[in-house]
Amino acid sequence: MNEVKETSETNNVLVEVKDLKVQFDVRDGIIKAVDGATFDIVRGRTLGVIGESGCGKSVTARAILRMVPRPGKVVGGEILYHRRIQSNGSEMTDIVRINDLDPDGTEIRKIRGGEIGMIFQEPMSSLTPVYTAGSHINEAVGLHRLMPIRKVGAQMTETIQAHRQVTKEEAREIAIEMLYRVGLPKPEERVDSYPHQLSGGQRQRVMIAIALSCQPKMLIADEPTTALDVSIEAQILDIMRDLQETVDMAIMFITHNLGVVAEMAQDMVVMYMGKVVEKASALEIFYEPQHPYTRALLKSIPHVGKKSQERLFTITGMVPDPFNLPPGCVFHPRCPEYMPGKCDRIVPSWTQVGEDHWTRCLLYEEV
Amino acid sequence: MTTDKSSETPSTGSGQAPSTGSGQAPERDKKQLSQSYWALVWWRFKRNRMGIGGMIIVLISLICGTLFAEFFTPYLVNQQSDYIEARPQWPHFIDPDGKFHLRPFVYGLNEEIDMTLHIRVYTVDTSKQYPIHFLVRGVPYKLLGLIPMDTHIFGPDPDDPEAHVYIFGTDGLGRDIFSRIVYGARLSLLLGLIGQALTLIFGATLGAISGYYGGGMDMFIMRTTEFLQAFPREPILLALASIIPDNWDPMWIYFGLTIVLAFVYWGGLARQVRGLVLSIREREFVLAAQSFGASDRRLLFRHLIPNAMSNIIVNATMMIPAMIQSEAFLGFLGLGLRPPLTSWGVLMNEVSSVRAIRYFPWLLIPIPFILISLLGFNMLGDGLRDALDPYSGR
Repeated sequence: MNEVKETSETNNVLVEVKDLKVQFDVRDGIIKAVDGATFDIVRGRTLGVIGESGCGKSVTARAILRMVPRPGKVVGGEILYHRRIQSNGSEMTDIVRINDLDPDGTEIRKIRGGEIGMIFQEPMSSLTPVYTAGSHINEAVGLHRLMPIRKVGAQMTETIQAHRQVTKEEAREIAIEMLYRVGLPKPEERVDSYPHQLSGGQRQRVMIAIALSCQPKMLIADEPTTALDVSIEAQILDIMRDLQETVDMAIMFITHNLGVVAEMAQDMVVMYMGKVVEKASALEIFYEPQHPYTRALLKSIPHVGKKSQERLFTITGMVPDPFNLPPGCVFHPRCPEYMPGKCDRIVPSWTQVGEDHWTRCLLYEEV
Repeated sequence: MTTDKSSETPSTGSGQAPSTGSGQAPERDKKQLSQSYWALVWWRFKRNRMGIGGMIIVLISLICGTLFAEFFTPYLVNQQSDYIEARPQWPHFIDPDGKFHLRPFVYGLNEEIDMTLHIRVYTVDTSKQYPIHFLVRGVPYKLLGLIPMDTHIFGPDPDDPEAHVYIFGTDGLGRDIFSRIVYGARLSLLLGLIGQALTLIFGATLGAISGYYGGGMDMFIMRTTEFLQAFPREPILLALASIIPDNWDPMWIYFGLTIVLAFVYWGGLARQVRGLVLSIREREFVLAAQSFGASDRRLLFRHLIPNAMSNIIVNATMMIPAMIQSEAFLGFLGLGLRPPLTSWGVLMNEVSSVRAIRYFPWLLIPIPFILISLLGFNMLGDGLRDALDPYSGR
């Protein structure tokens, strides 16, 4: 299943999502939560994923960790995780097909937290109320740093590296160090605080500390600042950017806040009704949006200096019923550039419209 | 926050702003910040008088009965005497001459035979006075089964072979009722505790598994509990208790009965834990823990069950009296523990005849003790229920 090859200089991809399809088989029918998501997450860069609520952003993120909530199922496509391994001086890339892993197996548990960390939208409830901040961090550390690391040698033999148990004092020091790095004031005291003694921003910092404590290669941030106020949001974003620079980590930043994503992301993916409708660099998305949905989204951001009499632009219509998706392009009933006879019949395909700029719209297709 | 130690309150506000603690000693600050869940629970619990009362009753009955029964009784549990079904010798301070004695004493008893009823009758002989000695040398025993001792908290004068103190009277074999009540507490309370521990282990684990995995497992476990609960509790207890063979070793009968009680009671707890797990499972911290690579077992035992623990503990505390009561009930019908073991159920069995109630009413004295200890457990459980949810009141 795993494919090991020599790392090429140009290939910096960390996670490859190819035509991912996730379905929820519920009583009233099948919901296609993710229907053909394709994008790459590049080492050390931030990928912003935007889209309105219920468009499949979070499900995609959870599929990467093999944590799709029941009764959801990955029914198509693949997720490839490129793991770099040092062996005999040369760097090899081990490609793990995440969607083939057992969701409760040791392999995926090693990736979860150890190689891909995740932080959540709701910091108030993401920490177990009965444990202190320090014990949360130590749990994550204990799960990964102490797990015997399997080394794949040149002879393909697995040697298990013996690990010394971290003492209590060392574990505490690791926890304090992590809390210090996420900018929590007085970390040596906060390490003994219970979640109810921390504010929302502090809890989110603790969450980031937990996620970073195992030095993951990638951090999935699922709307990490949605529940926080603006000043705390700015602080958290600063911390995430600073830490990203120091530890060279990729971030998959999920949000519906275009301002935040402009600040954070280098690459961007726009999702609508489970489909990735546009993928480009952040600059191109903001300056040369191609898909009508992206354009509409950008137009609906309030601007400072806009005349107050003018009404804010809104996308007409409603998000379609997930059981009853419109035929053809799912966006056509709301699209300002709707082409009758075309958009309601033909499903647009993934088209390249510029250098590394892809979209899913019939405007750019020869049909 | 004042410096007075008694006004120590959990600091809810100081968690928000780190600057509040700036002017205080770091030692103090740290103590406030690390108010653990249990510290909050204790802080709330100790304001609840009922709960504290219940806790004191429970602690007294556990310490006196379960741990140090030998020390707190004047006689050993099966120590027989020539005084058969003797009436209680109430302690007195004032003798027939009206003289006050600082040391309480009991009057001697004279044995007579009532020829019309053909029973033994004891009359109080005020000429014989036996002072009650405290911390007195008596029958040797081993404290906790380990330390050899012969000191009892009270007893008759050790140098007078005639002296005897039966403050609650004696039973048909001449054994001291008071001693037997205290000894009975050992097996009865332990039965409640062990039975509840078994219930807790099976009920909580099965309930958590049922709620966490759902599907066929859930179906099977829940239908099993429903099947068990479909039977009225007393008949199923009787039926199961009567399965235990009579000729077993008494200790095996004891454990058999514990298992029977746990078997009958685990369903309620399992259902409750399942419900809790179903709701906690959807909370984000479970997802978060999963995203750090926690295994199913770790999620279940480190994240789900600890968060359901407060409810589990309350449920368990409230169920202990039910178990003790069931033991007494089964004992009364002769299906519970059997002599030579001594439990409250056995004591109840001894009083289960009209003859006993008519002529030896002091055999009923264990009943208030049983009731008080049941009440104690219930009060403790109520107090815990209020205290174990310290975040609710704000």
